[in-house]
Amino acid sequence: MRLFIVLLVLSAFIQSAFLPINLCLILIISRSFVEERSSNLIASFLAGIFLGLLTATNIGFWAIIFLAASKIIHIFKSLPLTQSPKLVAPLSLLVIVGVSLIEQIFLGQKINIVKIIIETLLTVPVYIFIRFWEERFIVHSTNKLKIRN
Amino acid sequence: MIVRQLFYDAKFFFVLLFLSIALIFLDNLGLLNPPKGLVQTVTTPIQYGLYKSSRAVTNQFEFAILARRASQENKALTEQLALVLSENANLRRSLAEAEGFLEQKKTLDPVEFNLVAARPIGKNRFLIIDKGGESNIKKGQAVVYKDNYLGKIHEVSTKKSLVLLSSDPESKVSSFVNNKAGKGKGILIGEYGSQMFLDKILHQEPIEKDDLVYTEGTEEQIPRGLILGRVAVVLERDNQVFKQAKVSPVFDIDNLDILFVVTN
Repeated sequence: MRLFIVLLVLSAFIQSAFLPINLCLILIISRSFVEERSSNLIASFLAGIFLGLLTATNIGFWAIIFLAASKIIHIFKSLPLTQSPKLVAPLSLLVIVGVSLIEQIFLGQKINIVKIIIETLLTVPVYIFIRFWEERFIVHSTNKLKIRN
Repeated sequence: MIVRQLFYDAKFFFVLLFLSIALIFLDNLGLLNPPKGLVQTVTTPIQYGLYKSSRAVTNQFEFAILARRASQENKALTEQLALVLSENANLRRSLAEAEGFLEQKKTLDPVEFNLVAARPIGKNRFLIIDKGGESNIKKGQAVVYKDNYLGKIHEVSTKKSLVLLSSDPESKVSSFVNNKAGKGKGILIGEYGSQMFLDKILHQEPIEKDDLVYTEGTEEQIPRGLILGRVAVVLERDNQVFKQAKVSPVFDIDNLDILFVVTN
């Protein structure tokens, strides 16, 4: 979680400084596909506030967006039809298009198709990386060691 | 357990959502400006550093791309320039040829003389032209430009001919000089180089420096009255039967773009 927060902070700096791609959104979507914990919601909320501070937009705007994105992915994951990892890209596309529409309505930014495609394509490797990391290197409290008598 | 977790997550979600909405309102009212300012005093220099670094990197890449593009444009422009120069050279040659045709028409009437236009394509001892037997060119025919005699056809192949220039030592043309005092006849003999030698002029016949030398027309295929050159020096000795004169050509044959062969 700490590493993920650091990644989010770095991404927020990068995207607010020079890269016009929503890296925070990609990270949050990807992690939401991997983990279904409340820590995701906290990370989304904090990342949203931090990005709001860096991009000089309303401080709660990105927090709501990221929270909603995280929750929507959770809902998708809980549905039997959309549990397959193959659906990461299409579901991400839906969320990213939705975020772009909201950006257009509230921030007056035009929808950029190329940006949407790049962000969607980026979610797949980021998802694979986070999944690999979480499965191999993170010890969860639910994982118990079996002690044989 | 799962239901409880879901319920907990939903509750958590709505709490954070409510917090976010509250932050939106507070920010709209400007109540969050002091803490925002405080955070931004730390984050702004980092953002600026990142921005400057990214610009520096981007500029380097842009420079490389621009240099490559400039190189490509330079190559394309060089090719275009070569094409334009080539076209220009062709146009100049065509213009010179057209002017040559026009002048020739003024000088030798095409009704009386059949003229075949030819281009000089080389010069060693003989002048090589790009027309030959295919164009009805035969040995001995006169080669002219405007009203100047250049030489006569020495050898003919299918598509090329060699011209024996009037300055060649083998060339002998009966000629005359005409000035205010009268007319003098002689034989124009070529010398090595561009000079010619007018020989067999009788002492009593008038000849002066700068007089023009013309063809006599006694040879079968050389028309009368063509200019052969200009008298440069008159050589007169009392103990010799004939006078002599050195004759210089009127123009440089190397500058010609086109010339004509008189085929009748």
